[in-house]
Amino acid sequence: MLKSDCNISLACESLESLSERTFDIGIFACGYEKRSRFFSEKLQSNKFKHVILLGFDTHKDHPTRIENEVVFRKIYDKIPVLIPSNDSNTVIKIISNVLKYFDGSEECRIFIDYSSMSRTWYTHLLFLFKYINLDVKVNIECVFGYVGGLYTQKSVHRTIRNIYSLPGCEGVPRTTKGTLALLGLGYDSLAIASVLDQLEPSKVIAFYAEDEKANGAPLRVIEENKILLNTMDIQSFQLDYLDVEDVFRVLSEIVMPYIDDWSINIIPLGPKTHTLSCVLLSQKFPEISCLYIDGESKIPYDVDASGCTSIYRIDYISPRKSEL
Amino acid sequence: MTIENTNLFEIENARSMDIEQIALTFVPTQAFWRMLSRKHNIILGSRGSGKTALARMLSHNCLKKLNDAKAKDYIRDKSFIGLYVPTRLDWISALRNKPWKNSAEKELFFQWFLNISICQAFLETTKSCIDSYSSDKGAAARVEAEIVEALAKVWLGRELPPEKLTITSIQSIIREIQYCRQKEYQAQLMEELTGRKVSAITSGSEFDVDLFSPLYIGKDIVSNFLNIPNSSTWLVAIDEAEFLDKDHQRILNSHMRAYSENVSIKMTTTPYGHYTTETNSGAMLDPGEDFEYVYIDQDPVTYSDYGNDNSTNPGYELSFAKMVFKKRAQFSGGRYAQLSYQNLFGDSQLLGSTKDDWSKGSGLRQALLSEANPSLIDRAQEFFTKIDQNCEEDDIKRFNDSVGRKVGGRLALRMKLKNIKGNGKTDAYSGFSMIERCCDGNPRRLVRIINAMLKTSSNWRKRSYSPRIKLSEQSSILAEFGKAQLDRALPEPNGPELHQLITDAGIFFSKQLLNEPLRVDDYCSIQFTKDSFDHYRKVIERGCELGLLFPYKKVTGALPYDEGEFRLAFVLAAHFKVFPRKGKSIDVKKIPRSPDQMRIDFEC
Repeated sequence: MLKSDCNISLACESLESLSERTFDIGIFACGYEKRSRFFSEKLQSNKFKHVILLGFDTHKDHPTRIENEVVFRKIYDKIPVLIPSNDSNTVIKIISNVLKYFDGSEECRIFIDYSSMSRTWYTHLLFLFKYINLDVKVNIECVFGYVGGLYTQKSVHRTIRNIYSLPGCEGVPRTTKGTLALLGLGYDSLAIASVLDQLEPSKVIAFYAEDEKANGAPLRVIEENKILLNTMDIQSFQLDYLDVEDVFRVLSEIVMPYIDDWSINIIPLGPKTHTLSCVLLSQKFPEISCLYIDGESKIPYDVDASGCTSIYRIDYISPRKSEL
Repeated sequence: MTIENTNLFEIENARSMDIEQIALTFVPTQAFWRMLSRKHNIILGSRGSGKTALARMLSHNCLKKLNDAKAKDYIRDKSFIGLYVPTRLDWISALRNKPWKNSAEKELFFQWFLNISICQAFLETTKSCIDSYSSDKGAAARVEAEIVEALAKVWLGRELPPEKLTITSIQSIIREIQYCRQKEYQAQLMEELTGRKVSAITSGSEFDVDLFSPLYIGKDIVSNFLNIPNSSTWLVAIDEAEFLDKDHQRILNSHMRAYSENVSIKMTTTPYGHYTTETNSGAMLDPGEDFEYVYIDQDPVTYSDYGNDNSTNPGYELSFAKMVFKKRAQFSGGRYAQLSYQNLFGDSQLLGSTKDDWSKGSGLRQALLSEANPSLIDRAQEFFTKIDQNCEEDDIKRFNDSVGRKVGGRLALRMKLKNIKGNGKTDAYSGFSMIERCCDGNPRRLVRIINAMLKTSSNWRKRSYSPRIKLSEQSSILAEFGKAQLDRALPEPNGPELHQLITDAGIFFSKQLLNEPLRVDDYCSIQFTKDSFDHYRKVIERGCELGLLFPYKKVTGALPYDEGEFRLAFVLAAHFKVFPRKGKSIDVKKIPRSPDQMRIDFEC
C-alpha cells in the first residue's frame, strides 16, 4: 500500500451551527436550479467577509437562472463571474487570488455551497484546499454545504465529451492485475453503460443513494439502471444520500481488500455528496483513481431544494501532524 | 479442466478473466496467428471484437497456457516473448488532466509514463519466463535475484538489498516512483495556478529516456540469464491505443518506422483509431512496408458470414461462435458444462435456406408467387416449371443459388411478420444460427446475448428438464438487445447523429421488406461516396467503433476506408424487423427521414 500524503478528517455540522459562525470566504454558484440560493437565503450575508459568486456561462436566459441572479444581487450585491462548467483553472485562479490575502495567516474559514456547482468546480476546490493546507501551510477550515434536490423531470441523457481523472486523483494503476470499477449510479444509465464499455473493468461494484422522498416506492435510480443491473454481474448496495462521512467510511472498507493488487477506479455519477466522498477517498488512498465524466446535456435541469442538508467540515492533516 | 462455480457467460470481456480463464476460452483466429510474427501490426476492431483477448494472449504468461501445439512449440523454442501493455482509459485519463505548456512537455511525460508501464509489463513477462525456463524452484529464485539485481542497476541506478531482489519488490519500487512523480506534477500545477514559484520535477528521472530503451536494456539482461536467443521476437502488445491521441501515436509510429532490433509492436485500436501515419522523422509510416493493418471485424473466422462451420474456421470442426459457446460452457462447469447450443436455442426458422421446401403447393412457393414483384415471379416460374417437369437436382440447385437462398429467409420473415395479430410478437429471431448472425462475429456481443438469454429464460431459471429457451423469448431478447446496443450510441460523441442515421435507415429497410413487393435483393446497407463520407465521417467512425456499422469485405481502397458500402449491424435486425443480411446498398442521401411518430414507436 502506498503511503498517503494526508489524513482527512470529516465533521458533520448543522444549519443551526452554521448560523452561529462567520466565514472569511463564501463560495456560491448561480445555476439553473432553485436550490442554488438555498443556503444564501438561510444564512445572513454578513457571515462572509468575501463572497465569490460563480456562474455558468451558458443558458443565461434560463428563467430560474435569471431569478437566482436577482436573489444573489439582492443578498450579496454581486453578479456572477461567468465560467464554463468544465473550466477548473479559472475557478482555482479566482479563489487562489482571494486566498493569497491569507498567506502567513494561521487559518482561513471557507464555506462552499456546492449544491448547484459543476462537479469540475468543487472537485478542483478540494484539490486546491489540500494543496494550500499541506504545502502552503495555511490551515484552511472548509465547510461544504449541500441541500438535497427534488428531481421531478425525466432524465436527460448527456453526451460524454471527455473522461479524465481529477487532479490529485490519478491513482497508480497496475498494468496487469484486475481492474475494479466502483460505480456511483445516477439517473443517466446510458452514460454509465458507455463508461463501462470503455473501461472494461474486471469487477464492478455499484453504489447508489437512497431516495429521501421514496417512502418505500421503488428507487428511481434502480429503475433507470434496471437493464444494466440485470444483465451485468454487478454487486450493488445502497448508501445514505447525505452522510458524506458514512459514504467515505463504507467505500474505504470496500476498497481495502483490493488496494494492494488491483487497479481501482471510482466513477461517481450519483449525487454530489457521493462525488465529494469519492474525491476524498481518492485523496486519501493514492492507489485509487477518481474518474470524471465531462458530459453535456442540451437542456439545463431545474431542481428545487428538498430542505434536507448535508454540511461537512473537511480538514486535511499532514501525516506528520497526525502522528504528533 | 473447469473453473469451479464460475459462469463464464457472465464474463464478457477479456480483462475480467484471469490467465487460466482467458487461455481456456480463447478461440485462436487467423488474425491471432498473424500477430505471431516479427512485423509490426495495428489491429483494428470494433468494441468487443476481441482485441484485448488477442493482445493478452500474445503475452508469454497467457500463450504458454494455450492448449495448442503451435503455441507450445513457440514457448518451448522461445520464438516469441510477449508482453501486454494496456493503455486503457484509466491509464490515459491521468495524461488528459494536465495542462501541458507545450507539445514537447506532453510527449516527454507520455514517454516516461509508457516506459514505466512497459517495464512493469516486462517484469510480469520476466516472471513467466523464469517459471518456464528454470529447472527447479531453487534455480528460479536464484536467477530471479540475479536478474532483478542487474535491472535495478540499469533502471534505477542503484543496488537493492538482498531481501529486495525479487520481481515483486522492484515492481513496488517503480509504483512508488510513479506516485512520487504524480505528486510533483500536482504540486507544479497548483504552483502555476496560484502564482507561486514552480518546483522542478525530479522523481523517476531514470525513465526520462527514449521510449522503449529501458525495455531494450531489460530484454538483453533477461535474454542473457535465460538463454533467450537473438532470433527470438519480443512482442509488445499495446492495447486500446484509441485512447491515445495523435501526438502519442506519432511517437509510437516513429518506433515502428525506425529499426527496432528484435522488438515488434502490436497495437490494438478501433477501426478509425489509428489517427495518423505521421512520424517524428517527417516521413510517413507506410502501411504494408513498415507495418500491417489487421482488421479483425473482417477476420474470416470471426466474421462467420453465414455461420458455416469448417469452411470458415479452418482447423476447427465448428464455426467461431459455436467454438466460443462450447468452450465457455465446457469450462464453466456445473450445469453449464452439459449445455449445447442446439438444445438451448434450436435451429433458426429463417437461416439455412438450402433446406427450404419450394415444392409444388408448398407455402413458400405460394407466398413467393403472391408477394414478389413481376420480374421475380417470372424468373421463379421459369425455374419451377423446369423443376416440376424434370425433378432434377441440378435445377433445384440452380434455383437455390439464384433465387431461393436470396429470398427464402426474407420471404419467411415477411410472412411471419404479416401474420402477427394485435399485440402479438414474432418468434422469427430465434435459433443459434440467428444468434450467431446477430452477434456480427463480435465475441462480447455473443456472450452478452447468451447471458441475457440464460438470465431471462423461464425454462433455464426453473431448471426445467428441457433447457430450450422459448423461441418467442429468444426473439424478444434479441430485439431488446439490439435496441440497447443502438441506444448505447447516444452518450457517445456524435452518437445522437449516428442513432438518427441508423434509425432512419432501419425504418426504411423495414418498410421496404414489409410493404413493397419482394425483390431478389433488398436494400440493407448504406453507400457513402467520398463526398458523403466526408460529411458523415465522424458519425461513420463512431458507428464502426461501436460495431453498429461495418464496411463490406470487398470495400474499395486501403484501410481505413473513406468511402464505400457499410452494412447495418445484424444485431439491429430484430429491433428494426429486418432480415440480417448485407443486401444491396442505397446512397445515404436517398434514405428518407422517418416520420417522427414512427421514430417514437421504435424508441419506445
